[in-house]
Amino acid sequence: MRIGAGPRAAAAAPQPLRRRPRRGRNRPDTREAAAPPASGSLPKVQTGREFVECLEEWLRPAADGGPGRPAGLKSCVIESYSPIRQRGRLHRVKWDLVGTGLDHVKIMNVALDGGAVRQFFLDVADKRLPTLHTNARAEDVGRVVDALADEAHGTFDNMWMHHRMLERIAGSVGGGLTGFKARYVGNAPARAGDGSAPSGGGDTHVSIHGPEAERLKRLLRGDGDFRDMATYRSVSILRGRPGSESGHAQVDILNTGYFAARGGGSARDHLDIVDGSRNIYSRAVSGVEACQLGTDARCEDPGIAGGQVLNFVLPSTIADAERFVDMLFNCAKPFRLGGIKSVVEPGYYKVLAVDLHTGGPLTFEIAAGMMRIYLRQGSCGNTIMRLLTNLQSLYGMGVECREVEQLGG
Amino acid sequence: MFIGLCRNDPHWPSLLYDLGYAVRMVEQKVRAGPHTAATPDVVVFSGMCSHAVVAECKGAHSIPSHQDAAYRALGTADLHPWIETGSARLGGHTVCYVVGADNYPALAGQTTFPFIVFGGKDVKGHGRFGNADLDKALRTGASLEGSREPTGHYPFTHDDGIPVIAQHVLYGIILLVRSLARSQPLDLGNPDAARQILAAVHPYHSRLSKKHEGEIVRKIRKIVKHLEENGEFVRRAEKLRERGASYEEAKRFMSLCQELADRYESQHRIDDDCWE
Repeated sequence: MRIGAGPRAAAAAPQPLRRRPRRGRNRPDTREAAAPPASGSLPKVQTGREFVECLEEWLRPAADGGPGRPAGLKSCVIESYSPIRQRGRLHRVKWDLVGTGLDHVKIMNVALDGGAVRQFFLDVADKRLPTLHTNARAEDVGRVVDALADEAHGTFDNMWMHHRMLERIAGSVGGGLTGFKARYVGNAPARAGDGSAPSGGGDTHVSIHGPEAERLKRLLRGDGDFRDMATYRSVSILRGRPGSESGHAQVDILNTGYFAARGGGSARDHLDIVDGSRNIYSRAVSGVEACQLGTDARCEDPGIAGGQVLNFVLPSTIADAERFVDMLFNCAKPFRLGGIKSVVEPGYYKVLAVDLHTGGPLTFEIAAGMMRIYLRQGSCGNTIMRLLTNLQSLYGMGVECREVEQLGG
Repeated sequence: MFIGLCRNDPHWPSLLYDLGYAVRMVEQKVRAGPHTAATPDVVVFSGMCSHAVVAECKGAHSIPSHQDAAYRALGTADLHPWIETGSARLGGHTVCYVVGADNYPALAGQTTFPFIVFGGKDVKGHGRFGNADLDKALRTGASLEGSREPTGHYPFTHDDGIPVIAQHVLYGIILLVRSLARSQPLDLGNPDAARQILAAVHPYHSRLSKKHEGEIVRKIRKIVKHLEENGEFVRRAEKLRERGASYEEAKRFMSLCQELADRYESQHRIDDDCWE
């Protein structure tokens, strides 16, 4: 059985928008569906076994001389703020869904920038955290997912996995950590400690893989200057034993919810890793949302107060709290936060904030070394996961939040 | 500040949290004896101590005698329906007033109930709190030097001035505009708008007494009326509603809201009565 890879060449140059974008969350588009792909349509699988066989086909090495990463099985877990409609349109993408013989598996035809259509298997077993499966090139998958998650009036977002969550996933859903990557923005560790996003001096890339990965990680963490460099942006994990009859899967997991098969032929192991990670994430997001302050509507007695404040520890490299606040609430990616700032006392700021992606409210209190977050009714757990993951990407493991990092286990 | 004492917070004393106290009720009206009722600001309960602290926060220089009388009539049994859920058992309660050090001398002679006093440098208890561990902890008190006052548990009260509430109103309008669909008009003049803004920004809005809610809503309406007269504000809010998917538009509106919030804050410093 040959599973179509989709028209790769067509994604090359983004096309100008043909139509004024429509607003709205996951708004159905009844006017026109994404056109069918030019070739290589995905099969309408009828059974779970057929579905797994399709994915297994993508795990087999294929001769591929084109640019970019080789085609192979990739999975992306995204957050959807409402159940995905049959047809929809966002600023840069439009899609339609085609059913298969499995209730929870659809074929999603996605057209990006009015260009050619890409196909994904869409697993909606978890409606809030659906998963896309494909064998398209990594850069093409990245473009589609970025376009889906890009919109300010959010419909979708990435799944943001902070350092400890990736560590937990490596320890629980796989056979163990076999490597990791970290990228430290700026000239770490000798960065200017002024609270602004570190920049200049080039990025430091750390990539450690192989049997000595764990030992080298401990070595890095033991060094005060380089401790933060061992903050994961991705981990490689192995499930099953290579060469065993039952097969194995080697998967790279990015902190944005992207899973790329790197070896092994077991699609079931791959899916177990993806599903296991998604479940951990789902529990963590629900746990964050249980921290919303206010009278607890779930209690029989509505007068009973509930909720919890989130206490972030900020590293000493963020010395200028005001510049940090201005950077964080600049209404831009990756944090997507805006708000009204006020001075509680010199060097101590309060921000009445809004997540521009979800519209959810949050209140921040920030000073050197600390950040308190009060969640309100309507605050989204994903906002906090996005914040923690991106702060750790910028500033390393020095950014901590015990209340969040303990969740999901 | 008082609620912060019941939280495990590295930057604020956890005097009550350490004894197992957690916030149980906020602005909940309870029966106080057979003939009257009280609406304490906060009630905290510790299962460890089987004890509740009924706290009334006072920013003024006097304690209304009817309020003090209602608290005197409040019995532990009146709190049972609210506290004794699940396995929680309430053995006793203590009413106390929570005040700033500036107000304490004037209020101290007006009641027999104990006080928790927030000074510039520390927080301490004055009087007997009905539980030996609590008495000891509050008598010793805790330093506030280097601590960071938690302001978000209870964002504002009916006692706060318009300039303080104004930043929350601007924030509420941002949240409302973000939640409005393109087809829904932005109508700040709508009588319900003030209540919608209050609901968006105050986590305990549903617990506010009718009187306090009314006072806050009146202040919100004054601020909204003032904002409605600002042509640029209305135009930018409309634009954001129409083009909600634009980070740039959001940034422009937020900048304007920040400018207005700063202006109200500085007006507050110059002339507290500028709204009257």
